Amino acid sequence: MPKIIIPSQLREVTGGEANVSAQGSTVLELIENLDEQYPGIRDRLIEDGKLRMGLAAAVDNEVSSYGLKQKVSEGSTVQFIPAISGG
Amino acid sequence: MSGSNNGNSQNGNGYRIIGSRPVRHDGVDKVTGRALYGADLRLSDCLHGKVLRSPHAHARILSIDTSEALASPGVKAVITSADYPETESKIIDLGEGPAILKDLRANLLADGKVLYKGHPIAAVAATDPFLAREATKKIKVEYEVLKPVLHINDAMAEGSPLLHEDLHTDSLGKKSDKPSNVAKHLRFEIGDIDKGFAEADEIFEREFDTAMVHQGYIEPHNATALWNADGHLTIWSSTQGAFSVRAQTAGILNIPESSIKAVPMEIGGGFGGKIPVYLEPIAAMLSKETGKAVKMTMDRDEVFESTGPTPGSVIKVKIGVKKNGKITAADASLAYEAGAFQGSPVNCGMMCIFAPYDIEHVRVDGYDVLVNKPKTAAYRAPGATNASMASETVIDEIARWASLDPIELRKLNAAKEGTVRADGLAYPRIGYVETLEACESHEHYKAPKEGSFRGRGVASGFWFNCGFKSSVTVSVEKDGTVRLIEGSTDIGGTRTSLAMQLAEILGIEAEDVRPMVVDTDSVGYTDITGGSRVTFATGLAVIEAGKKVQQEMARRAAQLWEVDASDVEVELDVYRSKSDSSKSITFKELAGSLDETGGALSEQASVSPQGVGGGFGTHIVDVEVDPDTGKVQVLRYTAAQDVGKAIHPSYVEGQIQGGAVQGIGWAIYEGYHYNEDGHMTNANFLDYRMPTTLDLPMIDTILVEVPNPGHPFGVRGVGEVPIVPPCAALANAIYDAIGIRLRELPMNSTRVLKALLKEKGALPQGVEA
Amino acid sequence: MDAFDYFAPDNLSEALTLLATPNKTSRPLAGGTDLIVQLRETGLKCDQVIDLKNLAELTQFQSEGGKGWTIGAAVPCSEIYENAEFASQYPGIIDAASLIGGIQIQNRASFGGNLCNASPAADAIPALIAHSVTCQVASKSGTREVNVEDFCQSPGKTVLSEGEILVSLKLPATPKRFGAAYQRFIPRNEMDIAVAGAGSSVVLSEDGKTIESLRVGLGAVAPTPLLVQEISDKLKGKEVDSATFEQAAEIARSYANPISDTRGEDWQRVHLAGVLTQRTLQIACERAQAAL
Repeated sequence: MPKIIIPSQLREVTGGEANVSAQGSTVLELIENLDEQYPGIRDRLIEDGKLRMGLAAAVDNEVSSYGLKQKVSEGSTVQFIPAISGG
Repeated sequence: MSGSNNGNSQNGNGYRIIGSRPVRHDGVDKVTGRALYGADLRLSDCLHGKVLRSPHAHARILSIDTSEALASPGVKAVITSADYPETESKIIDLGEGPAILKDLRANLLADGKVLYKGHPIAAVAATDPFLAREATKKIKVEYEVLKPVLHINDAMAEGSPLLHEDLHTDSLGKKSDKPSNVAKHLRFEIGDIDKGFAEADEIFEREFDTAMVHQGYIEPHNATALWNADGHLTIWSSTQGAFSVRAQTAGILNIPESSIKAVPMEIGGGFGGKIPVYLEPIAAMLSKETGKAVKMTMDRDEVFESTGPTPGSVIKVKIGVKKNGKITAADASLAYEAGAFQGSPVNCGMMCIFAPYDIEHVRVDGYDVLVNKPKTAAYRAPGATNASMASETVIDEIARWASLDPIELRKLNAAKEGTVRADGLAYPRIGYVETLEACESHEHYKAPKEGSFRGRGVASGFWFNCGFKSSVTVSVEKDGTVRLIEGSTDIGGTRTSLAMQLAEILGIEAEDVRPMVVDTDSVGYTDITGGSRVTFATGLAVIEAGKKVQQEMARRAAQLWEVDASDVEVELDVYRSKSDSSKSITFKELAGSLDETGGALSEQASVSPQGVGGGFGTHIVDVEVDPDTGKVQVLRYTAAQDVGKAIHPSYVEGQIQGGAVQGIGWAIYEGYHYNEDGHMTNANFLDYRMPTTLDLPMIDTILVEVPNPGHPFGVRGVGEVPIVPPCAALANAIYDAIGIRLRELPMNSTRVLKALLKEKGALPQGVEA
Repeated sequence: MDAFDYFAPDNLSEALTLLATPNKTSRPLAGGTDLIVQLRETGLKCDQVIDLKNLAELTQFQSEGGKGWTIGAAVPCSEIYENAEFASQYPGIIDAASLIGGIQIQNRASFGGNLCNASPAADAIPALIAHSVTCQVASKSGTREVNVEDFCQSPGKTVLSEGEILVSLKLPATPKRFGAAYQRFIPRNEMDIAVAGAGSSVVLSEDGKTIESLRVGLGAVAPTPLLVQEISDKLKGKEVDSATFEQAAEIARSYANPISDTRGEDWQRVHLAGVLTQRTLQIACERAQAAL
């Protein structure tokens, strides 16, 4: 099962748990399934059908440009980090 | 078909073109003054626009009366935010990230409230720029003046006046009950911070305060817009991203992006500050209103007071360390000025603050804080310099405490491949340690320090670099030269660095490639020039398109020889038949035969790459402090950086030198100076002091090349990293010179003198320490 | 910028008549490095600009044969510092002329303009004070002389009344064993306005060990450039040593009454007035000793 590292500020939803797992083949599916274990986490990550403004998903340490549609595999680790832009 | 990358090296590095130093493609235009900038544009029957700006830092607009201005000589139109078309959207997608439409609009033309001195309120179009300016003075605005919020600590204090009454602090999707000037709170946490500090032998806890600074590009913002009767809008402007101009303008004016053609003019510096639009939608509205082209250019005070600064900040750093110098835990809190609307780069500061170190237990908090100052924009490694000033001076303190050389201490704790950063991501192959080793063995670091009040400082810094989306088109001319059509505004020599990558692939000379940056109608979608991404990401598009060209050229050769395409092999610019060694043709000759083998040859590539290589730099600086005046003179400066692979080493050196110089300015000269009413008192280049050539030594550079595995040539972005270490390096050098730690930026002569007098107990009575 | 009439008279009397045109505001123009910027950028308005660069009296720059020198009010800085004979006699003036603006500015900017602009931070004025310069003023009703330390009255305001212009500066001959220097403090090394400035001159005894007389002018530490008369009175006859320089610095600090603004803080300017007095006195003494 893909692993998800819960951002510090969402660990209040997971009862303090930082490392969790969920089923799914895309970031969106992962979040949907995670929301069943930890109700409310979806709405903290997703707004208007997209990742919350300023947030990016990283799969296996690579920030994805596909957002919620990014594919994940069984051994993947997914993280949520601030989106960055440069000067 | 075999690739051309394994050709004979002329540079001793396995490449023919990569790593050489051809003359820049835009050189002649620039040195002869013929390059066309936005202000050079002269359209017939063009009107001139001017903006009325708020004289107050914080006020409610009670009424606006434009009638007298409208009746003034030469005036053709006056607009305010009431003239914005209605829209349902809340968020607009700018390609490289979304933005809040309401904020974008209100920043361009104030809506109900003015939030900083210089905040645009209305705009006038008139037959000449002086008449337009005179007319702005005839717009009558009634204000209810409010107390301005000028410092982060005041903005965050209980009971502070609010900039936006409806703004609540967002903590990753959870909103605060009460409205606040803090738009966002973010937190990173890895390991167990309490455990980490419990393991420490000593804990260092320090606080820093840095001033708002400006990118200081020489060319002021400008825009000319022509809204045609057929509904098509053309915009010429100075921008880091023509497609971003299109997206922002389309969003603000609620028109389709496809109805806009954005033409990027030559650009006189951007450094992140020319990503947002300020004038384009206004010029467009004035053009729509009048049916004529409208040109707008800013004066320098407008640039300072209402565009681009990067945030001032308040940063707290706490680091725990073992006696042997091993860091056990690091905790930081960063509060950054967003300006009048949310969106400071505090997130980037949080990700960068401890980025050079492998620390098991880390916690970082970040606050995006609104103040009555211009909305901040990106500035070269946005947010990272402030953060590095804080962490890298504490690292220097720790090295002294542990009796370790500052480079040794850094090596002991250095991040390497696999190290997990505070935000949770692990590094791929990085070259941080290599920059430390390069500095350690450099002659500068070994040179004796002579003379009193002289000191040496070292600091390191990190920047991510970005990927984003790029497109290019490559077409072959009959004479064997190649046109490279791209959409990445050239602010750092990228026409040449892209042309060189194409030349390397095709086995031709860099001079035979003609690169050009074109408008949004003429090339596929391309994100901004920013995040040090162009040589990397647009470079990948160039490589892909170049390979397609090579493949098609091989097919044409096959056709010429009436052999199967698989029979053709390529070495550099020579195409050969494997089966018949008498058949061989050069790229140039083949180009002359395009017509007889199927006509024009043009290939396109669009990319959205991963594999961005982050970059590290380590800087060494020597200073001398005048003990009587507090003046700091930079004596010597050496900057080492992991550049992945330097495509054009002169440009890479230039980027490093430029970044170091901007960092030096930030460290000891520059800063927004406000009076208590919130008016900037140094909105000009005389009093906003940027370093001149007379203030600087030669900046020596060391190019460390640890190839980025995500790019075939190993390219890493290089433009932003070098602005990260200088402030801390200078603070550490000043400490070495006078034995006093300065924790406020700028460390200008006033501050240094005050610190020196305080140390001597000679601070005059009544002077705040 | 509003429209204005431009005149370039070729004789002084015509210039004075134009300046006195009734019901018109006139601004005299020399190098224009202040005036043009003020007209374009800071909202200064006038009906007519009178260019004085065609007037012989304002462009003269000559030795008065042992009685000193005359510098026309419109002579640019570069002409002053490029004159080797003059430079050897008036080192404090040369210091100031060489550091006002960049080279392009120095080719236009004049000492007369620097005086008439009456900035408290003007670089030329403390040096002119140290060199005991007198200002020659003319109007349709005649001429008068004003000591340079009395020329400025407040920021932007001089002793000139309506219809008067500054024609030239009279520099007394420098005595034997004379030395002078001007220094300013700026945070950068160029392209800046003085946070504080000091001009000093000395006449030493024959053995070079005693200060027979001295003058110190301060800039940017009061509403106008200042002559610190108390330094001249109290320190004449003192030895050339660091104790004397420190005493001078202390007196200078006591006369400094600066403001705080974006360029510097009041306490900093007071402190710098002392540092620069000390430094310029020392250089002036070294220069005088070198000529022994």
